[in-house]
Amino acid sequence: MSLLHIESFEGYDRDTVILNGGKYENWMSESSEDLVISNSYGRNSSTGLRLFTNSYTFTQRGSVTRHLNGNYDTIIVGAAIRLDNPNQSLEFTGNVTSHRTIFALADGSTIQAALSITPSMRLQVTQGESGSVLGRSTFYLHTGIFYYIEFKCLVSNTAGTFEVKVDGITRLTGGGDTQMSADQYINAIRLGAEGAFGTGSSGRYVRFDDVYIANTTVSTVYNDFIGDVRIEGLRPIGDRLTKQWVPSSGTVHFDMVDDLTPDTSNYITSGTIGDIDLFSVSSLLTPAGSILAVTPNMYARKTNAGVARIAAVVNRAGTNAFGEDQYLTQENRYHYNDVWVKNPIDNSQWASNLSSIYFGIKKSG
Amino acid sequence: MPSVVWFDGFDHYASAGITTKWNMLWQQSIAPIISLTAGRKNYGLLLEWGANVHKSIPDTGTVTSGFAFRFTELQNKRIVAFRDEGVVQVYLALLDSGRLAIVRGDGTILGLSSTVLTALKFYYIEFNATISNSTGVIQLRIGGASELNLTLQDTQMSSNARVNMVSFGEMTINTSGAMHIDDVVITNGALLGPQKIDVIRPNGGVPGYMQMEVVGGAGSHYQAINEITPDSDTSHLYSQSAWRGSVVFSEYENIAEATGGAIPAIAVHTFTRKEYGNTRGFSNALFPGTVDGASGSLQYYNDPLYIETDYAYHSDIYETNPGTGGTWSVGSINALKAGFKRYL
Repeated sequence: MSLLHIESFEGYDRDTVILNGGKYENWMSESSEDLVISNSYGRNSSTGLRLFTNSYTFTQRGSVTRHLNGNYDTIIVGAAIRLDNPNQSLEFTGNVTSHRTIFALADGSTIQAALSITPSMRLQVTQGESGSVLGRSTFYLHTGIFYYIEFKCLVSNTAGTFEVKVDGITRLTGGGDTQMSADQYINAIRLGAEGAFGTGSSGRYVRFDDVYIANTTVSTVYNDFIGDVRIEGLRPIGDRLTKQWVPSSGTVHFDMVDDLTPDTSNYITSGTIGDIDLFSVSSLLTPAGSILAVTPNMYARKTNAGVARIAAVVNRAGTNAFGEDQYLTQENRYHYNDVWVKNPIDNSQWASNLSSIYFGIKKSG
Repeated sequence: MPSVVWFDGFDHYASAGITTKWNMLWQQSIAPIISLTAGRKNYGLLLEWGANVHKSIPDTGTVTSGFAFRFTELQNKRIVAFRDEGVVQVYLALLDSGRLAIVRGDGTILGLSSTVLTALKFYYIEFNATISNSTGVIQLRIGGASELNLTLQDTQMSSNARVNMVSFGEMTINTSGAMHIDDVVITNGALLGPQKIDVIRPNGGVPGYMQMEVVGGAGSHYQAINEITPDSDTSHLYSQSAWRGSVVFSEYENIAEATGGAIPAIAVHTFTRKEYGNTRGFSNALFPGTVDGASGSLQYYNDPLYIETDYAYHSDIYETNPGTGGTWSVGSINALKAGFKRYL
């Protein structure tokens, strides 16, 4: 696949990210100070992520990291990003003199290269997170405005390259040594700055929304800059005839799994391999335009020892297709490794409004 | 690079829109405010001590900030700072003696004005600096008269002999006093003398150049974009996806008070946003009238500007009339039509 991950931050909350080491499958917080997921912080009143973030020299900050299921020499990451105005003087804490990390591309815990915003609101690419400055834009941002920023970087000790686009226009390009670890690859993307919690009292809030992560290999689609995209979270709004799982109460299934944020007090269960529940889902708010990809999210756990697996289901006109098997733990976690750039039923482009398409879950093992 | 880098009279947007034009603001307890209290004629910028606003500019070795300045209490306060990123190279301060001080970023005073300022009175100040570790230059003028002219100064605190951010306001926590700022002009060196900035708004359509959709109940194209402060989506012009190349020109008000003297520049500010997806850009455009030798038949489209999903000002500064190649006159501005063209 070339499109590795899409994220709108809709459907969960801060606790989902930070408790018990992170309940996202691959989207974890290592510095969760003042990390908020709220519909106050996304674009156009949608849900977004707000991090209290600052430079690598500042001790109080939040970050989230997406660990990838592979190693890639080139990564493209895009997100709607907005810097808020601070409500305290930054000069007292000195952090105005430092830049603010937006995207950090990592091999394990080693940052290979990072994109940050300088005090004069320019974009800057560094080797590692605090190493040599590889490029600084003449273009500058304003606070209080969402920009769609995309960062493409090839990791190499000798022939590294990078390009940064803002709302579709190239604002910074360059090259150099973009490699800090012994490996010429990236396997994690961090939003924001990492660090232990400290005593700092001031800093800068940065909002993230509509995130995508892609690489340049394997597939011929979405293997480069995708541009400004909107990612919507759709929830179940009705049961289909196929409803073989068991609701924790009553007879309505979708009502058990349509929570705005995870609610483990009501749920559906199955002990039978092959059981499927199908749901109709809410309509897209922005039906115009092409659908580039669909990612099913399932928040699930098993109840006892032994192997338990689930798979996402997509249904159209009575035909089902299934995602990869997801292995459950006894702790609730999100499982969404499938990124379907085409409808898996027939490998066709997604219908523009997802009409007559249904989604669900299968107990696959 | 043009001489006039940026200017602002604070007369066409409200406090909430400061960062759609300036790049950012900081505050202690009271945010920067666009207020009639702080303006020389109309609106101005009210900065309580501890509130500040920042404008990013292209890297430059020499910079001048001209502005009308008034204060309410005598205190030792920073008025405007020239920064290389986060590092203050040099700044202008008001001392509790009423004099102005030129101060290097490390606190070293490089010079004092001979004029003693008094509270509640506007002064037009021009602060010029060339950044260098050894050959720095400082000029300070009040009301157009020279106060300081220093050479061979160390005006550099960062490792770069440049300025890329102009910051108004005191950075430290204080609880009393305010400064009023109006008619700000930033250049890459030129001292233009005391300036006054007027805002004129659309007041009529131009037949043949009303090629976007009027949305939100406005009666005409120009009425959709002639607000005193922007009303965002309430009334606006909309260019549908397929309408690339659509153009809108408007007639504009005459300058209310033509005070004489040179006009260093005009600016066109377009407040715009895009919808989700795709890359969208437009060009600000001028359509000079038959004044000062302009043909009156040619439009001039500037370089494309690219827009975001949130509203923001996208501006161009014109130091010369593209219809004549010469400087602006009151007559040529009064005869000017301005607008924008959808580029992408």
